[in-house]
Amino acid sequence: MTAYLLRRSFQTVLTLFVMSVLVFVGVYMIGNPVDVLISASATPQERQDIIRAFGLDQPVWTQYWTFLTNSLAGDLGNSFVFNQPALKLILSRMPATLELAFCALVLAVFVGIPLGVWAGLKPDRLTSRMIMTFSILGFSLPTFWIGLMLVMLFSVKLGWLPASGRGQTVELLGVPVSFLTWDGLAHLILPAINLALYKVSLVIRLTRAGVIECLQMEYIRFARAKGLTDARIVFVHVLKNTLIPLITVIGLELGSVIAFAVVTETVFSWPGMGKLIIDAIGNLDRPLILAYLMIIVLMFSLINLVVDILYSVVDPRVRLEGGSE
Amino acid sequence: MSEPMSRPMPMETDAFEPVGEAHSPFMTVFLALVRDRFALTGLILVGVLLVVSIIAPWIVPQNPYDLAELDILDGRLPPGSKSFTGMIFILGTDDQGRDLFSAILYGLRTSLVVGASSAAIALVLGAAAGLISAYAGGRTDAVIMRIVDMQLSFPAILIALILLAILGQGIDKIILALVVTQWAYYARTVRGSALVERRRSYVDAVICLALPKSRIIFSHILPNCLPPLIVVATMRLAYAIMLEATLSFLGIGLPVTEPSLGLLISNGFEYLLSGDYWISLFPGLALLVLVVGINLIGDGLRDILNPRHQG
Amino acid sequence: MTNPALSVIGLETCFRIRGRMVPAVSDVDLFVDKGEIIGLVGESGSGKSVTGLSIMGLIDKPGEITKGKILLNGEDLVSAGKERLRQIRGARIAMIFQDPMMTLNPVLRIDTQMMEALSAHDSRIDAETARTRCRDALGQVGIPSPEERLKAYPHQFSGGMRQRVAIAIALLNRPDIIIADEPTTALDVTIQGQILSEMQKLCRDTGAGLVWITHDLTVVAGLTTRVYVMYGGRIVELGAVDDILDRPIHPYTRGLIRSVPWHNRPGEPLYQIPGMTPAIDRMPAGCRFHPRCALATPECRGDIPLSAFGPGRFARCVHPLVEDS
Repeated sequence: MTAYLLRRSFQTVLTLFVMSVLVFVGVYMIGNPVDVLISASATPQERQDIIRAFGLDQPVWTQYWTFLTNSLAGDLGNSFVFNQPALKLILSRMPATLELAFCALVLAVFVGIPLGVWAGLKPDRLTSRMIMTFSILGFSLPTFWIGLMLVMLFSVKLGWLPASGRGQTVELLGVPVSFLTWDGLAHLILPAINLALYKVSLVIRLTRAGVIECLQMEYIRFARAKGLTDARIVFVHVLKNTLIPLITVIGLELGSVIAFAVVTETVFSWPGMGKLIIDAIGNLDRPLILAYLMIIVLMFSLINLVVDILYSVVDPRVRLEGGSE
Repeated sequence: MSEPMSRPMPMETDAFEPVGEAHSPFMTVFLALVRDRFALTGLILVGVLLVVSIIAPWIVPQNPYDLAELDILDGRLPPGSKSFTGMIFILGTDDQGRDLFSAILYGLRTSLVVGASSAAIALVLGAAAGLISAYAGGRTDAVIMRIVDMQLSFPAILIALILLAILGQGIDKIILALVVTQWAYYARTVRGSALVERRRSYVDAVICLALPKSRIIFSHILPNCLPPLIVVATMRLAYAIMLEATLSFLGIGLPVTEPSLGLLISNGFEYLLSGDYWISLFPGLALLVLVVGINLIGDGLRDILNPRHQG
Repeated sequence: MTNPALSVIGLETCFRIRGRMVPAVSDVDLFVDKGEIIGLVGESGSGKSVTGLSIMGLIDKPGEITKGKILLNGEDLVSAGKERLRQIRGARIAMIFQDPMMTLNPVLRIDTQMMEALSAHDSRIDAETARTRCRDALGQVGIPSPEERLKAYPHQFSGGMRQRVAIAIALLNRPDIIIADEPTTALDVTIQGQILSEMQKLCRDTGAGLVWITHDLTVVAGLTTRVYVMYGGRIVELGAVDDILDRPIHPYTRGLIRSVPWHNRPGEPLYQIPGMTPAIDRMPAGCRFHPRCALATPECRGDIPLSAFGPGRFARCVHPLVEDS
């Protein structure tokens, strides 16, 4: 287990390094921030000063080296636009995104799994067909558009829920959160549903497929031959077998939800990291883009690592093989 | 799908089954699709959208991207309104006085072109990588699959975001970004089924015949990898179209000069709060119908081509 | 003769195939005495497994028991309710399946899978008693250090050991009848021998009647007292095992015996029955075997009842092979 952890951690570091090079080279080689940063009316002297101030006159590898050593020290550069440390900016926006992503994921799990189990157990019922139709729709609805439609219906036409912002927040362990105040919760509902919709469909389909596959297994027949009640068969034998592989998928989906929050945050003006990066791309704010990407890559690698470990803890077969494939 | 828990004894009906008319495999699949109610719906939806978007320039009342034909005074008219020249905007107009019906058809063209070309390029590249990986094995396989795994652990939208942040906007750039986000799925699919096929004894038989490697790969292994590849391709196509619209909506996909459903919806966003719903609603519906149609076909294909359902 | 532990009378089980109810087995009569081991022999597709599952009440949706009675100690199982059937399954009748690699749930520990078989039939049983009984049952089927093995997962056992666990589970509630559906087919020959002799001993000790379903005549020869031969969903011949093997009456039984390779002398071509087992929805009229039978005449297409050929000896044939005796 320790060897496995070490190996996986090493892979994570390697991934981070490769991504940092790719992203750095991409961002620094292709765009030309000098033109964006400096107004056309600037004097040549001002141009030179700014270029020197941002280190843009150094060779690429020197710039990367500076970037790498600085980022290991936690300094991911200053935003061109905000003139603040990029890391600090992103970290200040992170709780909003994480709150949204977690809510969406929780929603996806608690709605998707029961519906998927039902559709898998009774595939021929009308209700199951309705669930599956819904899931096809959920798969096909573009997230951004359904977000707009939610705003149109619930905010503009019905006036039930606010259309944008995060509402009132309170500090929980020093982190501002929305879900503990009524106003915050009201602001959270629509974005969370919007972000969850695609994942609900995904979870429904995966659960249903898993349940159907599991029901055909000989061990289910043997369980019935033992005289177990239907409840015991479904909740212990079927669910455990279905949920174990689902854990991996759902865990990895957390990353995807964080990435997709970009869309939902844009629609609902949710003040998270996603909104920040979209603005940064528009402004060619390279240090901010770079910092966002590095943090996202780090987050993803950590999520993958945690999910792998979790999976090996839950599945007896993987656990004893020490995680080897 | 609804296989009984206690299966009846293995039935050797096949040996007695009248063979029926000999169709090409392509035709057989198509006929099976037509017989499936959902898949047929999908085929019709996609078919209609495909046809109208191809003939769009000849059926639309105006060229929505020719600024000379637009009149700002026609801006934000609700569906069914008349223009100064007497033209009827059946789906209304956007803020620049653009006829939404025409703009949607043009946007569909872009969606289809971008989606199909990126899917096709990604399919070819991915299938090639998957075949090489499966056939070469060893270190090559490990390296290719490592890259595939690494890439698949990042969501497509994030990779596209990174690329477009670097590359900037443009139709070629978005196709490139979509290809980069999709190829790994094809590579993994093809490698998986190619490995299974390789282990089958007929491949050994073919190898014993000392046929050239390329021949073995292309005329023996590849055709057998096609069914899962086709299913993945349909699903990915739907996803690519949706992703393009999303990126354009975010303002990092297509430039404003290109017709795009995502941009139309994004334009309408500003006016949504004042109640002008149609600018965002109709392009979204068109996109929805297109994606639902493709997904329905994909679902049907998966049921038909999945060997487990063939019994 | 006292009342048999299990008797099946005129059983017919149908499956819905392309909208038509097609009998998979029909006219099946059989009985098992306490402590007796009978063989149910036939090729795949002969209906022997469907018969076994019908007795267990495990026939599902497209299939259904359409006629007949299944009497367990005088109680009819065909007319019994769902809950009553569940109480009987695993308690009064147990079943062991063919593939030991598939019958145990891979994600549940052996003790979970054993103890649930006890608590399903006795909700008041305390964990300590249940555990002791499980441990004893494992010891009984020859599993070394049962205490430790209880905490193991199925994948930590070999195929033979898993089948022993399955047998131990079947025996847990001291059933009156055990139905064994080819439980040794997937095992090595040496392990097969061990399990056969253990089963024989266990049935003698516990007084359970055993229905051994197999396609393998060599297994039947050493294990059972009486044999039922099935073909095309019907019993075509029955009698004491030595009678059947030495003096088969039905041409199909003779073909089956001749197909066993040790009946051949070296150099002689191996015997095979011409043709193939018919599919259940394409059964020939009359004797199901007549299209493959060398002795077939037009009378074979009529209705042929089981007729007696001595005490406990029956066959369903108009051209019985009796000239040998």
